[in-house]
Amino acid sequence: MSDTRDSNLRWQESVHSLGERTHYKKVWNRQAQDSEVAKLAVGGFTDEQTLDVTARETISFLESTAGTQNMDIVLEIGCGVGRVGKVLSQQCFHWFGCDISGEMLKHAARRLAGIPNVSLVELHTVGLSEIHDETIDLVYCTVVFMHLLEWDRFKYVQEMHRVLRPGGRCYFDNIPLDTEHGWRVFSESAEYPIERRSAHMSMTSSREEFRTYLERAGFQDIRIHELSNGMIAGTGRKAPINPSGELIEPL
Amino acid sequence: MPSDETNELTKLRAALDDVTRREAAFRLKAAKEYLATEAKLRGLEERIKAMDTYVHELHVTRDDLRAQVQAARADVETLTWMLYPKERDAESLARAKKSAFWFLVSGAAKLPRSVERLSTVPAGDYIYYLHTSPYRIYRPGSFTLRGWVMPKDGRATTAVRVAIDEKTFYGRFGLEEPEVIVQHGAQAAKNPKPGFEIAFEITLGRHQLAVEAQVENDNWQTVVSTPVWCIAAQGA
Repeated sequence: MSDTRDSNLRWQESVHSLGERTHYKKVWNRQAQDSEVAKLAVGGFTDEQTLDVTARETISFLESTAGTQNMDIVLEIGCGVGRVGKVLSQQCFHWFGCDISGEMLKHAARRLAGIPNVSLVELHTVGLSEIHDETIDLVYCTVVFMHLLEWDRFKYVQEMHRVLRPGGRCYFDNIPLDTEHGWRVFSESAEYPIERRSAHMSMTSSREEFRTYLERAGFQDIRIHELSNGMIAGTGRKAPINPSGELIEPL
Repeated sequence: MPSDETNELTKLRAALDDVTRREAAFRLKAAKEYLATEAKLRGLEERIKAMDTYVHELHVTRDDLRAQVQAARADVETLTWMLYPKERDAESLARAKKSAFWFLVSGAAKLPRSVERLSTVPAGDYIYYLHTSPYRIYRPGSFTLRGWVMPKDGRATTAVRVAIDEKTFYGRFGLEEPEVIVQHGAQAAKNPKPGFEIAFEITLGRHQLAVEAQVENDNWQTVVSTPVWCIAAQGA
């Protein structure tokens, strides 16, 4: 009887912990109170040189999967301290970095100060309601989905489809469950006592999950990519339809 | 490839780049304007939220004040109901005071009285002295008034009495006062024993006391009339 009661208490505590996970703004603002901690939280490194190296690696993934063009208006979801944007802004027409954490964006603003084709946007909640419909050429979300619940991952994929112009591309990645690396991440997290699970612990994805999100959101040319860092990426293209409803060729 | 075609292709690519740039610039402008509008909207929403909070606080305050007013009205109603019997009693008392019954039961000493009663006994011209002062009478027990009296015109005094309010008390008259006889020899010719001693009962409160004298078995005349107070003695 007492075991059942203990289990119930632990279950309730775990539910509470899971609920905290959705308080993304609070969780990530806490992690961004110190710039060094913020860099660790978003990239795993604190020195600028290593951050640039990892940024170039991410950009190479973008180039090889969704593609980048120098006339692209690019939007990054969960840009953090602007790790990728600092480099990618040199290769695109304009780079928008959005994040739900205003504290993270303060660090990003300091890092990206002086770059003219950069805009930072604080999201007030899950979604991209601050971004106008059909204005973005490339929208991507890297090293973020592992911190989101599935419903919120799909919300962002839906929003990606809305903000992309016809023919626009999307990219998002996560740790796959069906690889050795992914299973190790999964197992290490599973060993945590329920009551000690933190709100931002990494949660894996699957290829079927990514494909389903992209299909349900209305993307075309859906592809799931194996990345050299052990992650998987989902890419898709918004149907190239002009305002009159006719199919057009992508630029 | 002929050079003309190459040049043409270069021109077309340049034109396409220009169109693409202009189109991107247009979309960027739209995105930024939307962002600014959204930011303005968020600001307005925050203000609305703050105003809503303020309005909510006002409603709470209003409800609190209403509750206080209701409580005050309830208190007033309670006090009114408590006051009603008192008013009723006061009205009854006022009616009773107007009645003859009140005059009988109120204790006349509690009410200031005029000296109309003395009008029935005309004042005379006397010389007198009271050995025991009646102005402050302390109960319990009866009070004995002692003194002497004689008319100034030299006629003989045949009786002395004390009138208190509606009551008349008689006592002893014709007591010797040798010092008075020595002092007022001529006037005392027909009053060789002018002294008197009258005991009377008196209720608490204010009264009108009069010493009255009868001259040569004729009508009674007032020697002196004065208000007196009967006060409860300590320990009574």
